[in-house]
Amino acid sequence: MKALFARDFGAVYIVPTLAVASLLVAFVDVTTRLLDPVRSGIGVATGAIYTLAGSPYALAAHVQRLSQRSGKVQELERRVLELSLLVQESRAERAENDRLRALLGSRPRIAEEVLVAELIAVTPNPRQHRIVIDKGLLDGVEVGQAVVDSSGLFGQVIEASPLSSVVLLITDSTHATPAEVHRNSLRTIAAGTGRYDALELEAVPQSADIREGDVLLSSGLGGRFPSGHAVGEVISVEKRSTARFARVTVRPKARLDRSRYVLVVRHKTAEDGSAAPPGAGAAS
Amino acid sequence: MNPLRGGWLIGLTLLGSATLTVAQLPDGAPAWLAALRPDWVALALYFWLIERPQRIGMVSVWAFGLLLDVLHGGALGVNGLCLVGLTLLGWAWYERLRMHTMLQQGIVLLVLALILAVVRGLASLWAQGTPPSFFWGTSAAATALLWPVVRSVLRPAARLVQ
Repeated sequence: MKALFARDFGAVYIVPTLAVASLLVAFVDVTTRLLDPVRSGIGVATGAIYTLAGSPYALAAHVQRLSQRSGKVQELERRVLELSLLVQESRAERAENDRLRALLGSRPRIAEEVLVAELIAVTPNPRQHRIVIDKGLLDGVEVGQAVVDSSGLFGQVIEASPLSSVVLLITDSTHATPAEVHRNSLRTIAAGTGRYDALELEAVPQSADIREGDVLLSSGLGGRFPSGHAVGEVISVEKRSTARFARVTVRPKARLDRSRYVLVVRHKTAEDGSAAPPGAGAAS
Repeated sequence: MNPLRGGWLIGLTLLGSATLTVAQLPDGAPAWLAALRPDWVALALYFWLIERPQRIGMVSVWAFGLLLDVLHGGALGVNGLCLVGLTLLGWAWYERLRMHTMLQQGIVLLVLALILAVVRGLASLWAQGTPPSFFWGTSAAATALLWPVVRSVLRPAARLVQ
């Protein structure tokens, strides 16, 4: 009976204390970044949980890969050849480009360092477009780094734990990407809609020169994303005389709901190598 | 012989339930199945609160809530608050709940799961501006419907915990 008594006695103090602590912690966490280290520490455990939750699929994929291996090797070898050819061409072009830039007196573009990461989990909440990748602080991932896949811009790192990190996709409804139209360098902002297949351009004037089929590239403005990565392709432009702005819908280039492997881009600024100030329409 | 008196089993169940909340659906699964994802953690905690309330500590439940917050990418402390509330009710009502039939226990769980879902939804609206999803009701209903299953699965395990 002693335990019962002690418990009842304790509840009187401990429940209000914990309730107040919860509210306080939530308030501090939402309004400041002070608790990020705590979050990142707990992230070690959650990374393990995510891996565990994804293990049946990882196992199945592994078995599948093993069974398909022999046929794939040949195909991949052929592809490596093709790609290495492309790389050589692009190296030559880059060298030429740098020479031309030097002639023009502007700085050469800083080479981007990339890190291959594998997707290990997707946030179960369908309203949030977030994924978890298997690289973290120990691998050099930092909050704010851009993530791309083989076809285009994917998202940005918003939380980094030692062994895993959380990536906010460009289609999340709280995300906005500074972009430009490839054809005429028209600057714009591509906002997420909460749907994997659509972005919407914000505040495009009715008179803007933009049409279906235009390709959007990241503009690099705001310093969060490196410039020149494909963001998406304009699929519809709706201009109504009653509306103030044109309604432009863009289909993202990256395969946001399919890609299993992504690249984390370590973007450096030319001056000092430190990260550019946040504020590129990033939401965290 | 058994210094934890079976406490590891409670921890394991709770961790397992946390894992289930982030488990992905298979590729071929219909999308509406996501709306029926039950609150596994509430199910597991509810079970242990009825069976072994003296083994569920407030502070550990709160710390476990922090883990859930990071797992779901929400504001820290929200799940702690929810679970502490659930534990408090469990402590106060466990004798009564034990006398109830499985159906009555399920109905109580339905109400509790609804309240938890509303609190979490409001918290995410405040913290992230994410509009509340319409799955509150369906998720809570799935939680209550799974109660008999969870209870009968965990019942034999409860004997290992003193």
